[in-house]
Amino acid sequence: MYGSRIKIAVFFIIGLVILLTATKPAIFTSNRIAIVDAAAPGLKFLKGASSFIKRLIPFASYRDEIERLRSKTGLLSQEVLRLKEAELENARLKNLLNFRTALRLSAIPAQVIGRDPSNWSNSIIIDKGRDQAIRPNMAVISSLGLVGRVIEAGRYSSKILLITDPNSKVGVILEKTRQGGILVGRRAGSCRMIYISLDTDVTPGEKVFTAGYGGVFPKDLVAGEVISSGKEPGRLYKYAIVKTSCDFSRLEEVFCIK
Amino acid sequence: MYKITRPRAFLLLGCAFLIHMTLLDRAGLFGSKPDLVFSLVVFFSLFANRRLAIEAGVLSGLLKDIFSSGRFGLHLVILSSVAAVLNKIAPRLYRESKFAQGVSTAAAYILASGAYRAFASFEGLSLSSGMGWIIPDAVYTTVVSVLIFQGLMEYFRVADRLLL
Repeated sequence: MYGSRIKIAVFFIIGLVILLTATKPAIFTSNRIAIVDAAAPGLKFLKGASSFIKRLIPFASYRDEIERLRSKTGLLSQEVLRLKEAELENARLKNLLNFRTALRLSAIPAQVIGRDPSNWSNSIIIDKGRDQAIRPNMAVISSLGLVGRVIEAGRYSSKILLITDPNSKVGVILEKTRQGGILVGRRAGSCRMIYISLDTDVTPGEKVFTAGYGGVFPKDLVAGEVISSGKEPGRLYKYAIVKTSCDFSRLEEVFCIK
Repeated sequence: MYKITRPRAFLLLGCAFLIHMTLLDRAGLFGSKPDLVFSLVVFFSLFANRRLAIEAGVLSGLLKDIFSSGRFGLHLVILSSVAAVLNKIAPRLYRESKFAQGVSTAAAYILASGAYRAFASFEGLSLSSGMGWIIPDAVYTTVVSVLIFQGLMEYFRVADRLLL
């Protein structure tokens, strides 16, 4: 009889403590950390004592334990590798998400699912199509800069003409002088900016942005940077070789701009 | 003696096509990359019968036309022509020679790329921009072709005991 009353009292107190902690009354929330602080030296002492006792326990069962831990280590190593991969993916996606937030334009994210099977043209295939509001002539960008434009939109996939394709032409301007020109693809991650007037000073490292003419590409998207320049032989224009900001061979995610 | 059956040939072409569309960009050297599908068309033109060679050319061209961004039909015409011409001259070549294989592949690639660019220019597309890449691509494709042709010859070679 007496024992059962004690049990009921203990359960009641535990329940009350849980209830009060869960509802977080001020008296508990403000003083809880102070109680923990006060109990800390005692807790530390108990931890030290238990560790000391564990060290004194005979080693008979350690062999099995080592085998078990070895196999567990193997599994955990694989898990660590998997998590590292997930961490890298997470960082990349977070970067894309931040980019999308920073982008004021309405963008549809898409995954690159295929490359051009021909060496004579440069295009990619993405996993979004008309059902996801992709339309021909939409500009396509990545977090690093301009990628190209949609040339064909299927229901579930679309084809993107990269700016490195010889048939791609984009109106661009130079960062410093704001001098305009046409960016023409020439493969291998570089383009040729043509029709730059002779009196324009073109410096290597200068960024090249989209001009926004024509209504396909929005203004001020990074297309690349100048690596060299020269005069077109027999013509009244200069040209510049522009290294694209994206590495198209490693492109995995893109955005189609509405 | 080589025995190249249609299912095996088309399966190989399909695999090469998938590799080209997914992984081959990473095998690029200074912006140049080999054309595995073209290599296989050359191989079938050299070693298979006329019908299979042209079928391989048509199928490869059709697949390329469907998935690439170029003018539709150009790959089909060019690759089937390459297959037909190469198959015609193949009996005059010593096909097992790496040199003959290399020269055939390089010449076919250069002529095919030139034809593509010429057709593209008739359509009002850019002719000059892609011309500079024909030779590097041809060299890379030739080197890869000569290497894979040795494996393919082994794969399709009929053992002597079967001939007896």
